[in-house]
Amino acid sequence: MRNKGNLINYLGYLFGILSLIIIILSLTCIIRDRPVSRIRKCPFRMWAQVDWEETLRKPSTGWTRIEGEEIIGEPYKNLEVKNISGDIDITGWKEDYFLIKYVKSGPTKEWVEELRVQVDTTENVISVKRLPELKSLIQRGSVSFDIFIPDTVKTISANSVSGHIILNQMPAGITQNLKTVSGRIKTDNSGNLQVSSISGSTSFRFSGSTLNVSTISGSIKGEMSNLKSGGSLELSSVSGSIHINADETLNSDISLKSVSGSISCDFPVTISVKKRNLLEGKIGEGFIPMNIKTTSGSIKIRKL
Amino acid sequence: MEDENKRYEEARKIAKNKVSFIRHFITYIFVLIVLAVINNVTSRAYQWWLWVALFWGIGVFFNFLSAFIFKGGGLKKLEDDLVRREMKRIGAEKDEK
Repeated sequence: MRNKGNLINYLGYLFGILSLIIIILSLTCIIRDRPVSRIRKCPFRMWAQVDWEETLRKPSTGWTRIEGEEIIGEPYKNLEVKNISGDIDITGWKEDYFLIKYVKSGPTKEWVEELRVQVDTTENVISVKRLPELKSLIQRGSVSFDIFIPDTVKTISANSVSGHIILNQMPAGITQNLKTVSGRIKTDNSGNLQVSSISGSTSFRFSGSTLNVSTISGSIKGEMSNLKSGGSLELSSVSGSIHINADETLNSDISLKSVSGSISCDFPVTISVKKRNLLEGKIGEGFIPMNIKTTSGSIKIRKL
Repeated sequence: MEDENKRYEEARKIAKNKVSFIRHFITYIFVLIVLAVINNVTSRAYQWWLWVALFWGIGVFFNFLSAFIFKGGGLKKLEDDLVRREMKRIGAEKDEK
């Protein structure tokens, strides 16, 4: 009996020390993974003027950075970008070739040297990947892409885990498929569009036929114009609000559902169902089905 | 007899706290393993289970402190000391009068 009591005491002290070791180890891993030094070096006195987003995106001088670029001369029609940690910026330009700029950065030189950027070209597809796939427990460094594309491109697929996906100066009619777990998604012009995000906000300008946007905690803001019939518009969020601006020619069969948020629509609606959290009806002739769902955010449809 | 009962209750409470800490720690380790496996099977990009390890670990460590280090109840002891001192002071004042 006495031995069992001693065992409990020894085990207790052992477990107590172990829990302290686990705390220290997990704290070390979290701090090593999240470069607090980048935040510390921000000029404190100019707090109000600091562009925090930009500051956090740029690694401080304490970080190792390796820059690189590749030029692809063929007029490929499809672009695929896969990243894990880091932003993806894609910009349309008037040149007839692709320019892929990247910045690899990380807290140690070894980590950065381990990172590779692989550019593959197959029939009509140009594929840009960050390698290696993660094998260790802790995320090692990040790669930011700045890609310039000619107007021959017809589809863009960009996939990241932690980082923004920003598309600027896009030629009209490009089909886009954009996915990230934690980061903002923005496209200034798209054809058919599919967006998926867990915690980032989404903003878009859409003029295609099929739109599918889903987020968990991010808000959705979008503009729609020159919609083509034959597709559908699906927008959903769990805790984010959904605000849409559409041009006056909107002809849509709408179903707007918000569990705890408000619903408002500037367009004249021929109402078929109206409840506290549901609005169904037609705007204009109702050619295009539009389903908008959110759990705790508001839904607004405004005129452009 | 009352003292004996009081001591028994106190000893029982300390023993109970110790056993409950052991149980807490084993649960902590088991859940962490499960979370780490889920995290790394689904996506290795972000190790969110470390946050659970950190904050729950702090809770477990405090549980250890209360069960094994400050087992007599630090504040309760302090309160008893204060009561004893106040009783002494009141007694001394009465004697003076």
